[in-house]
Amino acid sequence: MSCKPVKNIQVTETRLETGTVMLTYPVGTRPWVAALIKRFSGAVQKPITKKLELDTLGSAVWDLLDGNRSVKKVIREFSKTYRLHSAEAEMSVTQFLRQLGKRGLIGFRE
Amino acid sequence: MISKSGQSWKEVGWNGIRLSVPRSWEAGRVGERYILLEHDDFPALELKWNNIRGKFSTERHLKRLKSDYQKQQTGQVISTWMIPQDWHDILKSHDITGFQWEGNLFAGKGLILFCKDCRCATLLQFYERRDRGNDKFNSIHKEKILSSFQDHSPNGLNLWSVFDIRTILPQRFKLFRHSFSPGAFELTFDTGIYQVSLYRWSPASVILLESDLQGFAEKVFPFESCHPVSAFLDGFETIELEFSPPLSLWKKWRQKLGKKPIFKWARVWHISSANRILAVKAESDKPLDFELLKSICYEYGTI
Repeated sequence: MSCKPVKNIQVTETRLETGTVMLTYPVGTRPWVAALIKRFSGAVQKPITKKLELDTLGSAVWDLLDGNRSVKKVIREFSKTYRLHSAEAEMSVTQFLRQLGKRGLIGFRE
Repeated sequence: MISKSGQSWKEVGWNGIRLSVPRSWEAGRVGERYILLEHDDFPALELKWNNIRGKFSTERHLKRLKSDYQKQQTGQVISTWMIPQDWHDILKSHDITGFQWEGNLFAGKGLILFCKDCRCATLLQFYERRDRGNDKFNSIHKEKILSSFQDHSPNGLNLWSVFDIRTILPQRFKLFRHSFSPGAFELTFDTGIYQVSLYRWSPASVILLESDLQGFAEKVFPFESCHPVSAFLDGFETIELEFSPPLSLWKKWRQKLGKKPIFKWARVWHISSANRILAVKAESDKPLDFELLKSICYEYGTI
């Protein structure tokens, strides 16, 4: 809870008309896949990117990640903004951060 | 409710159990007959209870508890504990046995309570963080909690109050299903005649970005051929949906044979000040008691 989520610098964020955030992030390919592509296409593989569109709540949490706020502080701010129950905010924010972490979109520092 | 010590308190009620706890204590886990209350992300109070049909033996329950802990291989050793006289006085209508245990991070003091009136056996244990110790303030808390403890209601009504929802329902409403997912809570009760469900969604401001309240109500309660009615009730924007059996006898029989509930009713309302949407839904194969349903809606709210 005291860890501070930090955004991956390779992630680019685009604000959509709806106010939500679209994240574009590079995805690493396995070396053998890259070798196959190189052999058959003859070209050096361009980095593959993926896009992830966050919903309103996800975008709100993403906006709170400034590298200085701890997870606990993010939960508190999120809960205050949407007048959510603290336990509910904690569960949804931690689940969301875990998902972002799995995709490599954020890291955590002490 | 603020005590002399300045501590703010709240009531927790779940499946027949009712007690007052410090406001900062939050439900961490909730089961059908189980509740774990936490304080600062650490367990504070755990309750498990059940109705006993035959003879009740505290020794047997204590023995089972010891073997459960041994199976969990937590290294905790349970021993019997002499309960303070004050606690005996507070819980004089119960048979009480005390026990205690010590682990690496926590120690616990617990009670096995048996009420002869309602034949409910409750295992109640206070967790103590070993690095903080058990101060006098803490023991005052415990006495206050124990003096508010109820395992049966004197007026035939049960309080259901966990997280941020609160309602009072007749005892004949038996909990059938419950879920507390982030953003969506559901409690479904079975009365033998009806199935009544209470819902709570949040944050309403985000949910209602996609559609208005009527659109949301129709999405969550897709009753066939029903005409939603919108109104302002008790100051809240409200949508009511109702489905009654079709007039055609053939359709009526077909539905009866399919054992589908043929009477459905739901009320959905938006509490903008709390950023919540609440709903009550009832289903039955018999005509619904609308007066009862309206009183359920009246009692149901957010804290």
